[in-house]
Amino acid sequence: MEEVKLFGTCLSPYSYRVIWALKLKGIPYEYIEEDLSNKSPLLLQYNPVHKKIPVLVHGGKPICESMVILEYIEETWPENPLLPSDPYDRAMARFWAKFHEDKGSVFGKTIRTTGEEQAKAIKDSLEMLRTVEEHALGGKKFFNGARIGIVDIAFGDVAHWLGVGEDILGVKLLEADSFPRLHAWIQNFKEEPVIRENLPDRNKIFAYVKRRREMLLASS
Amino acid sequence: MAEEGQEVKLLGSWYSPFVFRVRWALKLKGIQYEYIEQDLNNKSSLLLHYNPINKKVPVMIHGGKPIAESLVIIEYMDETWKHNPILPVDPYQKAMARFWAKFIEEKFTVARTLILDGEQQKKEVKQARDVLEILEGELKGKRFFGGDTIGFLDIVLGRIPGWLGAIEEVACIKVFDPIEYPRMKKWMDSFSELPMIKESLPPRNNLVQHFHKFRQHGRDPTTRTGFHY
Repeated sequence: MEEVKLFGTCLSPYSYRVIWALKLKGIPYEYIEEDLSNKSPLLLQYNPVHKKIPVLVHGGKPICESMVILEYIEETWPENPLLPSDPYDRAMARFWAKFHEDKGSVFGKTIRTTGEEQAKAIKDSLEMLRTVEEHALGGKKFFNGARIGIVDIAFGDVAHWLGVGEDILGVKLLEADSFPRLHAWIQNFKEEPVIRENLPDRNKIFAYVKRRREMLLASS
Repeated sequence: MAEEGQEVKLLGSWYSPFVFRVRWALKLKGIQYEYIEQDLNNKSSLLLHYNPINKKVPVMIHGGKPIAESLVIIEYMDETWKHNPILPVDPYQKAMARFWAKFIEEKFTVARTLILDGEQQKKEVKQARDVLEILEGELKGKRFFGGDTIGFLDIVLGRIPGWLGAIEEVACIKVFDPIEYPRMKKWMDSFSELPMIKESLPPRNNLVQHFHKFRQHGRDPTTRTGFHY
């Protein structure tokens, strides 16, 4: 098998998406930690368009964008599938993955803004979560059904990083009473061994995000 | 599971480049379908039923089951009707196609220039030109992004030949300079001259009129929400 390398950062949910997929499929890989304030020549060579992580390099060929990487992993190593086999179910999974791509950035916005802008970001976040609660999970244990899949992985930030944001803002977005399905999903997701054993330290995320928020607000 | 032979319907609107992606994909695969025009400013119960989440077009309904989001629909089509694949077959090439599609979706948002002014509009124009420059490099010696025949990326970029000129006219901006982007110009001409594209593109005057209306409503804060591009 050709060698697999992953360029990532230790606190990024996007990085972890790829780590989870690789580990769920038992694919060995070399992990390279990037310092985004001092990007390596290799990163700039492998991702000249965005200069971002994660980047998966398989047999010397780079793939960028976490969800594109996940689809590539799924096609290249079909064992322990992360997508359903039926085309319609796959379309539903891709729809929700895209939904997260389109709407998910609003969580970060709650951290980066204040006042009216922040209030709107919080409102949009709640709306996004409400839609997912009502339409995406149904009665299933995971978005993918009985087992974790691509959509569960995509929503990993909601399971682990959102809570940190809530602590920093002092605002609870995901109340267990208002979002029982999502709440149950988070418990199930984080109990999966591969996920449980591969989550960054919450305190480290908190310190990092808090520092970035302070720097951002101080400079504006 | 919907079967190949079951009926296909498409909810669309005549001016949406996203709907055209699906129409071109259907044409490439020779799939018969019923097209149902939607008024996005007065949404039908059909649209709200089949796409309650985004309430947008395109929506494909296959054997009664709805799929929304143009690129999700195209991936579904490739998996359901396996002849004349639209996405590359090789997993790495497919990943590249998906990467570029995401790039274009995120960065080629030039329609916003219709309802922006001043510095914000200038920023959108610059971003659009940056995208064209990068794509210019990606075309290299190829006739189409898909090679000798059109493929996924050509379809994703289809709004450039059909829509960009009308946007530039109404927003009073200049994005596409054929001298700066000679390969993209050649691509545009090759793409637009394909019979299936030529006979399908909405008339420029109609688009210009539509964009004028959109611009009017979009710049008036009291009418902005609800009026659709």
